[in-house]
Amino acid sequence: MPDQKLYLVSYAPYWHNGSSVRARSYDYILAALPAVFMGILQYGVPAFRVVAFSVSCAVLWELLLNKAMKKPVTIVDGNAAVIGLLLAMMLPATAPWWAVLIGALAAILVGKWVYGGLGCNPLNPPMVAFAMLMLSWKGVVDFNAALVNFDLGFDMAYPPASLKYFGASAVEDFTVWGLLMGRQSGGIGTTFGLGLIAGGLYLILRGHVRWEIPASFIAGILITASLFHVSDPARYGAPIFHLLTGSTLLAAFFLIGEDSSSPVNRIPMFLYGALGGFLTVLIRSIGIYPDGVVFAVLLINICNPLLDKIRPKAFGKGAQDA
Amino acid sequence: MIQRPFFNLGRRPQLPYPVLSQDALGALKDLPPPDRAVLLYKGPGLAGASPSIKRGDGVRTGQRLLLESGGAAPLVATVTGRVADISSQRGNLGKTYSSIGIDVTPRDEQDGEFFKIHKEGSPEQMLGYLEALPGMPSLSPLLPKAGPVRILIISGMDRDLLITSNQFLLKTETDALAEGIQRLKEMTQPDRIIMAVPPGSVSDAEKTGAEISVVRPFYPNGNPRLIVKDALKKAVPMNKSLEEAGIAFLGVDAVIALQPALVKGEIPIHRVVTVVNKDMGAIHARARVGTPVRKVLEALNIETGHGDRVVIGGPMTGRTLYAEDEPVLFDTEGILVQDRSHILPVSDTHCLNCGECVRVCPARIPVNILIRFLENRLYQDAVDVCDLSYCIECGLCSYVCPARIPIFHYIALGKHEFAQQMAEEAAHA
Repeated sequence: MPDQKLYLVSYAPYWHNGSSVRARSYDYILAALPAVFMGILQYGVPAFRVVAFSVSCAVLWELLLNKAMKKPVTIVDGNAAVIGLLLAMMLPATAPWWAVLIGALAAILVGKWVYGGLGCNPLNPPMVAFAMLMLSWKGVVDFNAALVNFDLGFDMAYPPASLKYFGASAVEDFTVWGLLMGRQSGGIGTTFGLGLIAGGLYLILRGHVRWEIPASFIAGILITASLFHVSDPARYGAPIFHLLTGSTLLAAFFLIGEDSSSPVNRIPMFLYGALGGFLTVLIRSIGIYPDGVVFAVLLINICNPLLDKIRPKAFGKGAQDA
Repeated sequence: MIQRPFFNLGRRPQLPYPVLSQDALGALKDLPPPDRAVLLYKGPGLAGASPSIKRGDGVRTGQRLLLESGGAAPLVATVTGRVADISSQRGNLGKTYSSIGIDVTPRDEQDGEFFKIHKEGSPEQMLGYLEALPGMPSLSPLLPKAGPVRILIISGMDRDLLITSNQFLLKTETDALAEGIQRLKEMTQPDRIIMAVPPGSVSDAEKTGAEISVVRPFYPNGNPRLIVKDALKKAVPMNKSLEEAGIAFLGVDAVIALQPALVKGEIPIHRVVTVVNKDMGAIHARARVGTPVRKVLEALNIETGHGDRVVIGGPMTGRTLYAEDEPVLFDTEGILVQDRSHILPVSDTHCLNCGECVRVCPARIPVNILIRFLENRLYQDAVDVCDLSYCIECGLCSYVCPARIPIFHYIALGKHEFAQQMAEEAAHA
């Protein structure tokens, strides 16, 4: 019966609000572009090379893993591209090709697919990759060593490192406006504070990033840093300095709010963000790493499942059966 | 289709119920009676039993047909004619229905049994008879019995978006409604009668003399559990049915349907349905109960094509049809026709854990965890850890899911499978 009329039968609901994984990914990329463009503007072709190569590697690794695991091809959802882009944003413009290649593999394979792919990763994939690079090849992500041949007209010492090794007086020359406008060395996409904030606000307004997480993360940073700063102003930097240097802003708006590795209930989101901010400043101030964001993010990622157990009681759930 | 706003700040979607205003009600279209009516009995009915009716039997309007020997499983006919076909049908999730096709004769012949009960019988007998109308909700919660304070809640809200039949009836048949409520009050003596209505219908509802509870007209506030919570300022625990809590919940449509029966002893035979066309234009039509959907669409000149979707009910909780033979029953609030170009396919992507569903869930269920259990068929865990049984079935989780996982479908399946597991365990205990 070729011309028989058949209806589509499915379960309710028959409406959808039109959101999709792909749209989310592309919004992330769009929101990250201002910071990336600033990086490319400052460092030129080397930065462009890292960004382009990282994104392509991430997408290619994803495709290869899809094929190897005989899974449907998922590169169209844009998640791999986002991971590649965020990884590149954390890397210095001089990152060697092999480090980018391995970093992208680490992000896609170790960060994402070993756990089952999109939505199953307990840790933030680009952060996993960055941590692996940092622990394996120290020189690759040592910004002072990596950017030694660049002179962009401002202090090219990596601000968190200067603060750690030389005290607050070494970073006195950085102005808030200068930091916001990217007049500091660091990862390709981590220095342009204004661009990151604009992108982050866009993601929050679009509803892709839950405002509770960046807000509490920033509050955590500011409060913890204030306490340190008050205790010894000569040794510990000002709170706003911690907020605008290193990869703090990138983490606040693009990394810690990553869907799979962050909580979804309100109180856990606040705890999660605040804990992240606290740990970041703690590692920077009394740990051995100049920028504490990497391990702070990975540590709070691990807390996520536990934190998310704090949730409201279901509707109509009485005390007698709680 | 209501799209997500471009900037939504992570807020829950605001899905307004359509609100009818007095001067934009539109005309009520009377549909001709069908040549062949179909009556459905929702229950095993004919399965394995010898029905007391058979093909070729004459049927009168209002006659009680007994589908099983011994008087069980009654069904009251809403047409006069000759039985042409008796069959058993499968519905969603393994439910079985008995379907009786009747060739309708144009002239109605009334069966006298109900009239006699109306004159001489008790309220129990009357409501028991009316309960057997096809698609009529259970009326036993109305009956007086010992227990907690008894409350009758009449909803002037429609259960789903786009559907406006309850609102329409509230505005156009206010007198009949008031009379019906008055009669129910005399018969069943509830302690309180509350009408839950959208803001635009308060003045109409006041004419009935009931207490008024105004419901914010945003989905899913028309859900019975949420209406009860709004009206009583206290949620009924989900492990208790509304009936157990002493609450009888009826829609305005049910009261309107019962009114002629309660007042005059006439068996109701019509119901008003909202028919929503592909362009989302709504028409209110009065159809003989038992009219197949095909006849309704034909009479309203609505064309459907291959790959379209025809839904009984609304866009959030309705039920799709695979054939147009299913009839309009007393619980058919609306018929929605969706063009195939408007249908978004679901996907089998993993849950992203974005939490949209958690924030939108009116029952505060951890849907992001629940869906993981359900996908892996861990129904016991879904119930124990994730409050599966507390779902009030609004469908919003599927509506907002960016991964387009059919979450609501998983939930329905999970509840069904869990109930089966429980039944099996009880049988072996």
